[in-house]
Amino acid sequence: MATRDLFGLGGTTDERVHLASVVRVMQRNFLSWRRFYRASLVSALGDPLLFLFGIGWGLGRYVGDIEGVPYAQFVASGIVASSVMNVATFETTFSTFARMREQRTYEAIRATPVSLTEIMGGDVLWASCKCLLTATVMTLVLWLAGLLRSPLAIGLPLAGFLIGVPFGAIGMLVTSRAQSWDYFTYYFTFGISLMFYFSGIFFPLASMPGALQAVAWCLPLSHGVAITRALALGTVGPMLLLHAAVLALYFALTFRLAVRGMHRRLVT
Amino acid sequence: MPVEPQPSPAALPAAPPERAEVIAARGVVKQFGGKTVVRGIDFSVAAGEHVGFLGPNGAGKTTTIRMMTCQSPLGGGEIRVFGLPVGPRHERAIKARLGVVPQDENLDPDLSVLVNLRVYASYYGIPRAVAEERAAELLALFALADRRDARIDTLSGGMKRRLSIARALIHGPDLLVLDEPTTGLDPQARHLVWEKLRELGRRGTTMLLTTHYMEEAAQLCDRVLIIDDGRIIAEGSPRELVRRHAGSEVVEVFPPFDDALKTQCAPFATRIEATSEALRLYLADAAAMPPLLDVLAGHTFLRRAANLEDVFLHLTRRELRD
Repeated sequence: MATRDLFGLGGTTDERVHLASVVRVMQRNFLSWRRFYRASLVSALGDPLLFLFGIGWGLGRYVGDIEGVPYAQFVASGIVASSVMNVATFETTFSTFARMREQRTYEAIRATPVSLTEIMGGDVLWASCKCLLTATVMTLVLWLAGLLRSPLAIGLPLAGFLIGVPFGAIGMLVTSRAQSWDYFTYYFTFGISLMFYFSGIFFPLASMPGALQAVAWCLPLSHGVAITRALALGTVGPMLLLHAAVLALYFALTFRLAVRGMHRRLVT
Repeated sequence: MPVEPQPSPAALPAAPPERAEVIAARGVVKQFGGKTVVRGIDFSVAAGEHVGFLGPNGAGKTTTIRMMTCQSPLGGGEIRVFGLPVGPRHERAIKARLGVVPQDENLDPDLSVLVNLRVYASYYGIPRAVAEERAAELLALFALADRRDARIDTLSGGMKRRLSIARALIHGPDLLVLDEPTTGLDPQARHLVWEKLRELGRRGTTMLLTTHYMEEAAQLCDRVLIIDDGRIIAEGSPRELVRRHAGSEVVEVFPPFDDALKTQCAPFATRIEATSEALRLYLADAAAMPPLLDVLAGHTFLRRAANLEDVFLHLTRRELRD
């Protein structure tokens, strides 16, 4: 049950969120995406897989095992999370910005009973659906390549979907502040790239100095990697709940801020 | 999940029996960052009426429309749409009964003509079968049936505009709001849009449109509100407005002419305007014409019926001096 002031918009708009409206916006994005799905899938899967086989197998031969796991398997288990991050981020930054500014889709939908918050929710939900798709195909490829150790890896697609939600919301927050396309460069360099290298995909966070470790655990991707790794390698434990809780908190905070930012920007 | 908000019957206005009031606006104000754009507008639209906001760019037409359609918060005053005050409480109930055609086209470029309508129908929660039926009807009405599978970027400007109107009608709204429906269209496309809008008018659709084309206002509107600098400066049917503010006929005398001619013409005209282009004489009725012809002998002049443009230019002359 939604409350009247869920997003702190100060009574300027109807803040209730109807799930049906959110799903309709997601469906619109799906229909629109069908035209480009090939190119979209190629870029979503091509990069991480090339990276994985290059680094994991190439470099892996010199690195040996990490925590008793062959390096390729170690990296693969984390790459799932970073590809999901990338897919969700692209969707709610570049694609959402295009819908908002170039195509004026937001304006078109706002004339209907679907609210701005629901449109944003639909975009995040759609980003997560794309993550589900990416994670599913990646799971299949990794399984065929023998890089998955545990039958729990069957949970990776669902994990991909759930990890996509906070990253979709964070992208949405960036977009709500973006005045031009250039603005995203900052987030991609200091957010996405930083997380890619320092969230435990390539080396265990435990190998970093204590202070840096603490910082790394503040990054949402660290928790995403911890989840996909646990599923891929079969090391699931109660800590999984903590990682999920951190991601849920990230979603709640950033989506609320994104909604407020977008209202300040568009509802004038 | 909360239930979809429904307009409560108690909130509906005590409407006169034959013509329900669709919009009632009182003292509407809007400021953007310290600049007042709308300065106290009062107007109303009754069911079945076709009302036009006529005004120059920047007059506050679009801002008023955006407040009325719950897309921009009300800056002050009150607007009731279908008897419901605009604002967060009734936002969805109002939007559910409104059809909005925006000034700048915002169709979905990656979807076909038909899918654009289908997707838009879904935002109103219209069942798929009903949506298909309505979409087919609207595509036929707007002469787009043979383009149903076309992509948006292959459509002409006129087709896009017609599709925007069709899209705004997909849920059978009680009020159609059009923001400059033919701006940027070539004459043929414009006439086709007018024809379609008149057709809707004949079917009883209530319409509110903004325009800065006099001809459009004269062609489509029963009643015109001339808006300038955030205020309504005149209101009436196009015919009334012309009679009240411009008289019946206008004679434009082309140079060369001198002040003496102006004095000689003065008794026959209700108003005289002299510009470098022409001496413009406004006549209350055609009876003044025969004696005036004698005065004008030897001058080049044009005699024509007074129109909305005369009214507009007269009332918004301040703009021209800027």
